[in-house]
Amino acid sequence: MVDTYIVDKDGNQANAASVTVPSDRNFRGAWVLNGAVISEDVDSAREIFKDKVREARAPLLEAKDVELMKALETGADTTAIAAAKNALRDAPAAAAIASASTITELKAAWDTATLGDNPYA
Amino acid sequence: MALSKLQAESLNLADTYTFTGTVTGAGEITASTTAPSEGGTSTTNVVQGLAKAWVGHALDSSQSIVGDTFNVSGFTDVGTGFSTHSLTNNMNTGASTYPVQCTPAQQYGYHGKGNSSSVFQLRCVGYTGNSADGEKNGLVHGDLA
Repeated sequence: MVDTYIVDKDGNQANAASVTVPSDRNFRGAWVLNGAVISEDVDSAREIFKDKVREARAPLLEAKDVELMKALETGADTTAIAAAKNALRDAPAAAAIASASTITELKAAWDTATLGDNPYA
Repeated sequence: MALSKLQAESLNLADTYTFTGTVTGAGEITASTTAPSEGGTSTTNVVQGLAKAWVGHALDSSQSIVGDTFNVSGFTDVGTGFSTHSLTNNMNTGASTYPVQCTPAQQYGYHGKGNSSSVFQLRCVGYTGNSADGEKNGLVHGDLA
């Protein structure tokens, strides 16, 4: 028989059989143990969310770099490409992320127009 | 009854005999038992070469082990793709060898490492290098205490 424990973001430990946990592990690094309940700390979740945004935008930025180089080589207009790159750079600083006060609001703050499919949907 | 002398006068050593008793004190593997190498030029310690613990299919999502375990008594969910496992019988040092393998595809073992002689950790990352939940398999090699 293997005993199972859960450690929260602050290092507090509880027997997994005696606590309730969030419905998903998207913000596992934001878990906070309070009595017999593990909840998600929104500020910590916000940082995890931003990391996810950065992870999602990396290949998109690379693709835009290729587009930009091609446009420069042919002398085409680069305005739209530059705007798209700026939107990707600014994505982690979106107001919706900063103002989210619940995990639900945070998940809804994913900018699908800029970043594509919402991984939290 | 201890067997101190075998008299072969009445035994034909070319015959086949069925033995129903128990042999003790001979042929047992000890901590120093060696076996010849495959190439025959050296020997290897039999007990030292055995796996001392393993954990199979440790699921982060449910904090459970759905596979087999050996000499493992605990699963602690420490974070995303990160768990520690306590040993039933300790190693003699935390600096043993802890290979880790992760699934599904595009997840990789970040490290298997001994926290101490009684606890080891398994961590997995995704293709981006960030910690990622999944299913871990871990193995422990080295010397038991």
